[in-house]
Amino acid sequence: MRLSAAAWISHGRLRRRLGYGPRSRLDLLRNLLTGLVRHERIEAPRARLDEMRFYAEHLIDYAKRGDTDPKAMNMANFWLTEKDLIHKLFKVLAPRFQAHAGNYTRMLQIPNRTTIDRAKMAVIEYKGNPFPPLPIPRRDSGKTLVNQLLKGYKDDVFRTKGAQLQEGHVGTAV
Amino acid sequence: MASFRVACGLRRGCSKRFVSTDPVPRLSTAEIAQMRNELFSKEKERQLSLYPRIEKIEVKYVGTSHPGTLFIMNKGLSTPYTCAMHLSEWHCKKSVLALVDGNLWDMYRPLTQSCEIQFLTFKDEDPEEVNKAYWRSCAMILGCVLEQAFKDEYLVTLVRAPEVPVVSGAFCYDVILDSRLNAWTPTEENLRSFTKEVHKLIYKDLPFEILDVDVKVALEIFQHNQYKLDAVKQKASQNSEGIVQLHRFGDFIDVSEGPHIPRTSFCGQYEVTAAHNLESRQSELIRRVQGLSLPVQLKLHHAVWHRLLERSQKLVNEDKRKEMKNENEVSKTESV
Amino acid sequence: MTKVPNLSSQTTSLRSIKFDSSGPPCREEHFTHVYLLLKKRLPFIVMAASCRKVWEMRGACRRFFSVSGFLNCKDGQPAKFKPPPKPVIIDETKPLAAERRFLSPEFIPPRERTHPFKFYLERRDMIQRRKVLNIPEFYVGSILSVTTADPYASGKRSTFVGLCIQRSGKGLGATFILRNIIEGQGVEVCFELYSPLVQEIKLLKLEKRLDDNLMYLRDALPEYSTVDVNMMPVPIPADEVPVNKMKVKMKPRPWSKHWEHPKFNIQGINFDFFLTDEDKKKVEEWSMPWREFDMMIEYDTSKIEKEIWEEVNAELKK
Repeated sequence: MRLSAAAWISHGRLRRRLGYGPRSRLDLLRNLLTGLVRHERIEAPRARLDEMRFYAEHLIDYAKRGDTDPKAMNMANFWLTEKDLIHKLFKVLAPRFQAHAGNYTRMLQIPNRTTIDRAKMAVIEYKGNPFPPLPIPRRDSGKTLVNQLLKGYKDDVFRTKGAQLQEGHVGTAV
Repeated sequence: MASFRVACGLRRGCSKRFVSTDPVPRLSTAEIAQMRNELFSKEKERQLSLYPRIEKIEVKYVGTSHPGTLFIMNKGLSTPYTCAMHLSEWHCKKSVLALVDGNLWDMYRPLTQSCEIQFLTFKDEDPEEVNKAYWRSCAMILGCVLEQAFKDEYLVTLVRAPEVPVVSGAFCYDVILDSRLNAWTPTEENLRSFTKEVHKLIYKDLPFEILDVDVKVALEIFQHNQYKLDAVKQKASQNSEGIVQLHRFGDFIDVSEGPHIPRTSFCGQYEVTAAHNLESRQSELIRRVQGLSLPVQLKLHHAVWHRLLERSQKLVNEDKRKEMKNENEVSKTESV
Repeated sequence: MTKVPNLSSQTTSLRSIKFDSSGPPCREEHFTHVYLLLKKRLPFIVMAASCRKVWEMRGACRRFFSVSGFLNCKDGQPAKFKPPPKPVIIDETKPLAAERRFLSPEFIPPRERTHPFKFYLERRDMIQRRKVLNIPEFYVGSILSVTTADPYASGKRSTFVGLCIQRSGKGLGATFILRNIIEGQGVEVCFELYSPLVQEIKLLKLEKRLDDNLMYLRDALPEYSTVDVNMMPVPIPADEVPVNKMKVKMKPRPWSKHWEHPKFNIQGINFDFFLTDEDKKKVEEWSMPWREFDMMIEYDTSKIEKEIWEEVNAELKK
């Protein structure tokens, strides 16, 4: 699912078609998700990771229900093809994200693949992993020319408003 | 009458060595510009001839993008821009200033010794110096347009470009127009014609050249402008070796307060927004012309742009900054 | 008075209602209703919407009682007209039904990118309509009688009684389909829940089935969709809505749709009687066991439902 749905006009297409059909699509994403739970940070084509991200987050939501919940257990059993990871999901990842509500993963774009094709690649990770942090692209600082101009404008507006308020105050007092 | 006054001023201000003829023959703006250019070019050639043999220097790049890059450049010839050309097109297009051994350096200023180099852009973490340089350059372009926009029969004397902080919303250039124009107030259409002229200059994509000259040469160049002469003297007195920095783009030369952007085409949106009359003790009417501009790299929504334009019509003062500085000093002393 | 026993017998009353559009005047019809009510002493629900009808009924009552008044006059008492005591109708079912927390499914917005404000506006209009017309709680499998305005019917209204086999549509455009078999002919009528033409919706029997959609009744034996037109309302159960776990017997195949397909997920048919082993193999192939693990298909409405229920309830109480 495209998480930035509002930014991208999808004309009702909510999901990408991957693999050889709906079954194959889930199998493909399942293997990726298993890899993510095992290594906590993986690289893959961007489209697949973008699809997989939804499942990665919701699997954590299910895992937070606890390992006594049969639905959660079934989900974990389906999505993790390597069964030793079920323990990790319930005992490591679920407690780690207990305090958070969603937004458990971080996805960043990396340079295109050069070996097979020029596919867009991305890296996805569960937050709070033990690896060195990814270089996160920084946003525009507040000190750029435009932001400085806007800051001046805002200050001006506040000043005039404050002055007006003060005048009004005086008026009512009299 | 005005010319007479100016002449008087000149005679009063300058030392007698330079003003040889009694009534200074009034030259047209174009003639003055040509004379200045000739002097500037001559001085530049002279300085180039100081490096007859090509000597190599080592320039180390300490930016984030290409770690460990070492350039072997030519002393006195190579500029930071040539270094950027070795790196990538991105560096050529986006670099506004260079940081050479921690000092701000114009992109077209030749390197004189082995050093460490770094490039500054508009989108850096803290682009304050770049913003200042951009504001300065915009003011200089405005000065150029003001000087050349009037007919030859009107005398235009540029006073100076006050250093205004970006937060105040506009850059400005102080100018004294011919006394016959004292009653004239620029209409919106006039301002728009100024803007048009500016855009012509931007389209020409002129480089900003820099030259360090001796006071003597600087005084000769600005012999027709009393205010510039004062500025040159002040600059020279601040400098221990009596060296004054000049900048030139196209055929307009000005005393520089600091580094400038590399080319005029770095300006994207540019508008001359207002002209105010300043109250001054002198007999001449000083006008402050203001404008607003944004570099090509930074875009703004038109609605916001128009609001900023409205704001930039207010009179800006450089005093604010001084006050702020004073306040800072006061607070510092208090804290100590 | 001679007509009364006749009308009470099933055959004649059936005809009278079936030919409602052309036949007897409506006053007689009310008369029968009242008669039946009094005779069997069945509780019936007073609906805010059917106020007018109640008033008319009272008129009918008066006529009915006036006869007895006439009889009393024989004793030599002054023949002064005495209005009969106003019948106090105690509705025992209503408070119990109100306790059940029920939100009509058309209130829940569909899963799409339409701005929620659109659904909010529709909800407001729906509440306005619900203040005028009492729409009871009902499910697929319940039996309803719906009275609609009909310009060609005598009395300008017609009533249809049937089994609700489908509820569809969201918001103001919500519909439900009633099915009945009349004179051996299956009849289905699709009513719009919030249409201004609908004058009364009466719940005759509250019940659920194993499925959310009973369209397969088209291919079932007619006895499964036959509803008595003169059916009396069955008392509404207090706590939980009963689920009718009846398995339907179907007509021989082919059916109008492959009801055995897993996508319909039909519980109300015992397919063992109708499918061969080969067919069952095919059904196996159609099954999509991974669908229950695809979290993207899930649409959890519990939270929205709670919010909307509170909003609607608060508005309805105003």
